[in-house]
Amino acid sequence: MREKSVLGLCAGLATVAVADRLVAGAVRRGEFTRWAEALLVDDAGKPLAARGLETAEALVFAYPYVSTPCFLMNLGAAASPRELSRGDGVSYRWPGGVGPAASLVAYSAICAHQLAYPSRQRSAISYASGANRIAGRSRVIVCCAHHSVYDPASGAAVLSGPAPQRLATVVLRYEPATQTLSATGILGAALFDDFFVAYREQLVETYGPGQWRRKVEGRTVVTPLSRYSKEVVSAAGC
Amino acid sequence: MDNKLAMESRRSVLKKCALVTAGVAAASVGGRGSAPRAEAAPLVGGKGKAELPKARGPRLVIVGAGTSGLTIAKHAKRAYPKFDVVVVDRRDMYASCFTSNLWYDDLINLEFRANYSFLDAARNHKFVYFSATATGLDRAARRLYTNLGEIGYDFLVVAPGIDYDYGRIGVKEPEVEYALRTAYPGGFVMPTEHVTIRNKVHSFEGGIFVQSVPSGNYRCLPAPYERACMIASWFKRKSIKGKVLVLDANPDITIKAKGFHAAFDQLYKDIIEYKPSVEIKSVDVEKRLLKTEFTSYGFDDAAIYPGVRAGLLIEQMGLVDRQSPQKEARIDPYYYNVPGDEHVYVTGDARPMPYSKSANTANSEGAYVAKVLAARAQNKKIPWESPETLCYSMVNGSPTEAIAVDAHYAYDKKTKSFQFANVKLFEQRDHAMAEAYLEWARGLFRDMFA
Repeated sequence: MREKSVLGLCAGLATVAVADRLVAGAVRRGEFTRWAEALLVDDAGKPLAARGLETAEALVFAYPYVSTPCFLMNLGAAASPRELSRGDGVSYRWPGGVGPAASLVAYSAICAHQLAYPSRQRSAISYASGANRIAGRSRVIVCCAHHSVYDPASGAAVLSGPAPQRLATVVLRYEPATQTLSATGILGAALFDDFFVAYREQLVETYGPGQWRRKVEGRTVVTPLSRYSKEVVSAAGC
Repeated sequence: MDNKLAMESRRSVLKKCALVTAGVAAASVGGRGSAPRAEAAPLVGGKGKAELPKARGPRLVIVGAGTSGLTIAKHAKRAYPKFDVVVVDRRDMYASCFTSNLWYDDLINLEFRANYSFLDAARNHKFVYFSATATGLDRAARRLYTNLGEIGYDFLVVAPGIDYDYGRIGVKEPEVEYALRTAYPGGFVMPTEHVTIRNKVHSFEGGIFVQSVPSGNYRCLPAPYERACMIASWFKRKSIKGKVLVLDANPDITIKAKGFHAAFDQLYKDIIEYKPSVEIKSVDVEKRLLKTEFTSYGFDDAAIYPGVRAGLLIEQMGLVDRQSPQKEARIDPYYYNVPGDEHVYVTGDARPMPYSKSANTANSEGAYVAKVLAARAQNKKIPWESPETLCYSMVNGSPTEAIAVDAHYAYDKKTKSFQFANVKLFEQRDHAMAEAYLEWARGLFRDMFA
């Protein structure tokens, strides 16, 4: 199913009462979009164990397209569910962290300001578990290009900088019995259409003609950012 | 009154420009497939309507496809899709001014700055790109004149950037000004100037290369110092026995002074010589001498940055503030419209507010002005937002290292002017900032074109 039609459907269902107030936003901003479920696996192909996941840097996995990277982070403390405002009077529920300590969260890694993202060559956006000078605090996602700072413990709300909106959440399902994690959909405004326009030439080169817009199916490989991108402008240092 | 002035100004400009624009117009008309004209009279704008698709909503015309104009075109259309946006620019090829200094040390290639198409921007952002020269304005009739005909507007944004003011370095004769513009360009207006400067640097075989720094609110405060570093880095890389002599009209480096001084002293001790408070009073082009009141400086080659003023178009359109030393526009400082006229706006480096004339300022300001226009089209009001100046400077070429400043602005009631607010300085040069700098630029290009 195409992203647009799903978003259109969601927006149509959720926003009948306020349709005339949304105008441009209605189609672009679905709340939850269900995508094909994908099991998170390590680079050996084994299901990623939710217990004891990396906390120092973000882990990267592709979802819902093979070319759209997301960050998975262990915040080290539970992230509680909360109501998020969409900025136009509509709010929606953010499910909070998952995993044994409810501390695992995932977001689209495409900066909501000017679409910086982790490519295989480089990344200017990253997660800082420790203190960093741009945010003046720890446990933040920072885009070093223009200093947008997001709070991963509260649905990637914009803490400072020029980003006009939060990062889209990747909704995760956690199976306590098997300790596995699966991505099930996207919550909030993803910028995939803008992303594909901005990077089409680069994506065709990286993934091959027609391949860059393939959807992730079944499983998706999780890699530490420092291995995913050759050069990382780390939030800890920028 | 204003309007009358604008019309008068337009006529005199038209006269002046007739010779230049006639050739362009004729070529363009021919190129657009019209039948050959029997009469020999030159076609100069103002006669008849420009050939444009019919407006399907309130027409927003933007003059200038630079950082300000393209940002506004994109975000105004997104904020209010009913807008029918037309972007007018005489250029048909883009090359950025921002990051141009990095090109002198080959840290980027020309593609990095120029591989962006106005046509792609127009298609992606659903506006009409009209390659024409704006020649005049009739605010009473809400009509913009171009060399390819007139365009009616509901909202007009004029974003012509800057022009040079050679009077500020004592140059009065057109011959001297022309010689300077050609032989020693400032490198802050036309892309072709950047090519000239790079050719100069790359063919330099030794001696003194002067980089001058003007007083006033010139375009991109740190850029002349950054350029000195990049040229010095090139000399170092190629073992050229050259000196970069920085002649600064100001008493000290105007921004990120600590970071630049550290770079000058630690990286280029024998290459860069920095001279503050050097106010150039005249230039002897033949003898290659820059003269102050008491002394003169010889050079082998130079990039001479005279004073800046708002793009000439501001004056030609009758939008200039006659009190403004840099001939900037008279506009509402919060909402950017011409006082008493909510249909005409001036943005980017032609604005009178003392913001840093930089790409990031124009980009963040443009995102806000787009919201102002969308609100005005719907009879709404929005609160003022400060532009942001996040500005990197490359100070080392190998390894690449940069410094940065991030600032907003606030109105100070005591001094009745805008001042820097929330300033964060990053003056300890490092490689991470150099990488962030490149991504900063890529982000701006994406916002403007994709």
